[in-house]
Amino acid sequence: MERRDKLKIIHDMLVAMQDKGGKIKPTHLLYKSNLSHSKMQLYLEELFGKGLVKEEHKDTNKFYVITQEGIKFLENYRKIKEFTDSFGF
Amino acid sequence: MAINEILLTPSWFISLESLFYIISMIVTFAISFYSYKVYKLSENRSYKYLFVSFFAISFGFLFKILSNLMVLYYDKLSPYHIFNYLKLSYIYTGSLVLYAFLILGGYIILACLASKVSNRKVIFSLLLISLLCAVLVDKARSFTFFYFFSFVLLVVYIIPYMYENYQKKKIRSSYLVFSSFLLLGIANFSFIIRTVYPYLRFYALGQFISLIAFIILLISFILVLKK
Repeated sequence: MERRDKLKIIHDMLVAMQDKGGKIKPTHLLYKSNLSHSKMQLYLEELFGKGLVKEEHKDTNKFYVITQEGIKFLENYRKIKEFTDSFGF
Repeated sequence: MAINEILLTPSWFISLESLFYIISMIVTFAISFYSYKVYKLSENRSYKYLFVSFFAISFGFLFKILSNLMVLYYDKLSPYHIFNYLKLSYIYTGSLVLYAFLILGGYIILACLASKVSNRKVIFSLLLISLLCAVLVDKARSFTFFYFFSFVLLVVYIIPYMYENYQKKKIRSSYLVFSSFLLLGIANFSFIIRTVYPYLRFYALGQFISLIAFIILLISFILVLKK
């Protein structure tokens, strides 16, 4: 399996949220992102820090929700991926 | 030394060449800016070095434009005491030396990225060679070493890497980037021929080819942004 770079991991996590209608439970995210729990927490901290994701609570459930910034990131990701592929570094 | 003793641009071409360099400077600056953005997002160090490389090349072009302006406006500037002959001469040669060093520096970083060289001693040695080539622009009054070294960096390291990347990715933008660097290699070859056979047309031809190379790079960049 090809090793993912940081941008790809962030992209995969955000896509997982988007595919679930914009919000996802932690356990589902763990499964979809294909990361260990500790790695996922590290990346989530970064996503919170960058404002790409926020946390929501409904009844006793916790959800991670993709923000507008997160959606913008996904739109820009394609451009960034194309740019990095064009140079190949 | 007369201000234009190391001038290799034919006088009819200086203004047009300056325009070519302005376009090339804008393109390389835009790519360096975007590379920095990618680096900040991805924390991939390769894009930090890509930013430094294109920024250096862009800055190099700025100094070449400055040296051309010295020649174009020498008569208008020289009556002013602050721009007496000596100072104009220093600004002119200094600009050319910086142009050569920054362009070579940019190519060296790209070559090291392409060949995955991370040994600092190797990189430092290459930068010292580029500094020597740059100083020889003034001392030997010749761009020969600069053109040869650029040509080697492009043909041995950068172009093959870009070709391999295109073969791997098979996308339009990677093809355009490869084509751009290939044309830069051809342009450099044209400059080398010019130093051996001083037909001025090879110089202008090389500059036209360089301009096309940077326009192709710009097209590639625009296609990426439009995605």
